Amino acid sequence: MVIKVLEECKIPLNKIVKLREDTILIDVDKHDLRDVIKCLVLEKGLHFSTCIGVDYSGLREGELALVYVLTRPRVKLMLRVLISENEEAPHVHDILPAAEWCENEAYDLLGLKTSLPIAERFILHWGVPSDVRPLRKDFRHDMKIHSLASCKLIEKEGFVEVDPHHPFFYEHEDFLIKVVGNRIVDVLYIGSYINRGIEKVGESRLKIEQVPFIAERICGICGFTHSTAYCQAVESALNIDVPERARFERALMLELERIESHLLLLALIAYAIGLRDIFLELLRYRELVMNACDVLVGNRKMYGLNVIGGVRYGFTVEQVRSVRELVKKLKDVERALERLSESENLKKLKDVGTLPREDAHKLGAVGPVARASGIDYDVRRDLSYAAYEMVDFDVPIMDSGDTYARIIIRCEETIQSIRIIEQVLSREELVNGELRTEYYPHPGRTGIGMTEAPRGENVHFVITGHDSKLYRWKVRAPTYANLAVLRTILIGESPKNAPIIIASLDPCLSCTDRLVKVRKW
Amino acid sequence: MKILYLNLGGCNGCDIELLAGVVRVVEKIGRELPSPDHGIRSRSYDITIVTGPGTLGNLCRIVRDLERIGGEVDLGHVIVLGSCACGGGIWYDSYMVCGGWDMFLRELISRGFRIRYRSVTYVTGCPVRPEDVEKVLVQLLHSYPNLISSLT
Repeated sequence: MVIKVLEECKIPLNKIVKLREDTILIDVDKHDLRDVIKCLVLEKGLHFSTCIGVDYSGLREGELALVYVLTRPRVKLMLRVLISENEEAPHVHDILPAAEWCENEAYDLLGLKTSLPIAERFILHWGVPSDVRPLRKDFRHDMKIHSLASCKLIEKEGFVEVDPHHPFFYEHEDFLIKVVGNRIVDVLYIGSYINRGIEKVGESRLKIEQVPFIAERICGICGFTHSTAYCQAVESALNIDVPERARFERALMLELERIESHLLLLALIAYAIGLRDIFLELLRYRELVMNACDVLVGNRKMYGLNVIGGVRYGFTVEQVRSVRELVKKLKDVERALERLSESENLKKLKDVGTLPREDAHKLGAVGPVARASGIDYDVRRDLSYAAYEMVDFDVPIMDSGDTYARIIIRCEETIQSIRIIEQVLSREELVNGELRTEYYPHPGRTGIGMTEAPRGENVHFVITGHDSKLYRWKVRAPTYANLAVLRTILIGESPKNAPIIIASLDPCLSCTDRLVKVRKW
Repeated sequence: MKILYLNLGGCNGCDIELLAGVVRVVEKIGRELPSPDHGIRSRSYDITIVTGPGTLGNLCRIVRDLERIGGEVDLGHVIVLGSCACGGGIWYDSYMVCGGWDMFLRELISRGFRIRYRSVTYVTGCPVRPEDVEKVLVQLLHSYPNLISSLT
């Protein structure tokens, strides 16, 4: 099927390398790239996930490369463009805006040459000298660049700051808007405050089997989905099959995490629209989920369960029984969600912050944001992983693309997640069987792992290196893709709605900023 | 009572457990805590709560805040939450991270800012547990009765 699509886009078949059943790598010439992307994404409708800059100097495959990742149901496609040191890097973001951030990130952190009129620094915009290119292989991860930073402020005249967060959840990030009359006319996002340099640490200090634990610490809300995606990427690169018991355990924890994350967002939305009783009620139900995690893994957050090839320990029958009791109590959350979705305050958000379907596709929106705009894409169903093939669930879709739809989608997903958990808890495989598969870390293998995080498609890309270390690790968190739609949904709206529109994207900035950007679109 | 709450690049794990802890404290002492400042806006605070390993971006943010208020601040009683804030945690030697609250303070002081505080309490855990947050906050409020009497 996919081969036929590739033929139609004039890709020579001898350049196609099948890495695994569902993963295809294609070496594309620099000059053909634009035509290929135009054909595959804009005409054939493949989903554009991300692009990755790689410094290949330590693996002798070339010098530098940009890898573009596209997906369609059951296939992950990597288009690799090899470039030499003095050559100008390709770009496609003028025809496909979704690629803008990831291309700029590669220009900044790898120092790729480009003739585009871009800012000198995209991510390290703190006055860091221009010879600091952290993702080059000759840059040491423990070099201290604080003393070099000048902390100069970015020009933001005429902009007003928006603070969409609940008083007690605060990650510093600047969402700035420009207002004329009572309408937003321009949007500016300044990020990168929470950049902790995780990719470099994972590539240099840590061993391949230690990285799942740092991957979990990318985010304190959806950490487990990151460690699962990382493990899947390495499993795909090294061709490891995961035992069934581990797949069920992963699915159980992933769904508990999804409920926890959605309930937190819905509680904050309820607070923002003035429904304080629902806010407190939803937080109480969220505590039940945290307790269930505590029973299963001994910690309320940061489960430390995933290892490459499986999981670290098995759940016992008693644990599963007590979680089943908690889930029985959790089922009542449906009533609170019903009250939230039927409240008049929420219905006022209809037709506010609308994202049309075509824009969502071009900007690469993922997860509930894309599904609220009518894009029928869910990684759990389309690129199935963990135990999702063996359970039964629906993927809610809405067409209106407004703030109201984005919130209702999350209410429905929470109910579907409870349904999945009930099915998983009743399976025999959850408590019987092998936990993990042994493996050997061959160097130079490429793999890609995707999961459906609570906020959307989460992509981890790995190349394995020598001495059982990683050669390259790239994380594309869902908010990274979703923030690209900010401009589309905010311009033309009233400034008093801006906080709730931004909140309806559920921005998780610690995920996004593990490496990120400042940009005026 | 004035509270300063600095998220210096944490992953949100500690921040959410802090909320769970504060809810318990409010239930225990029967008074609402005031909502905190998220950046340094005033020259003196009674309690400062810190999470996160101290990233370069947040260092620049605090430097800008301190420049705006004249380079001098009294943080009062500092509560450092989570392994990252206590010593950098898993990020301790990353190029983008100062490595915990102590190193973050050192960076600020080396830039010529004058920072005073009365006590520092370290709470470890990844993330911290709400019970620990509750214990620390309640103990602090009981040891300094003038703090609790300033609550309405």
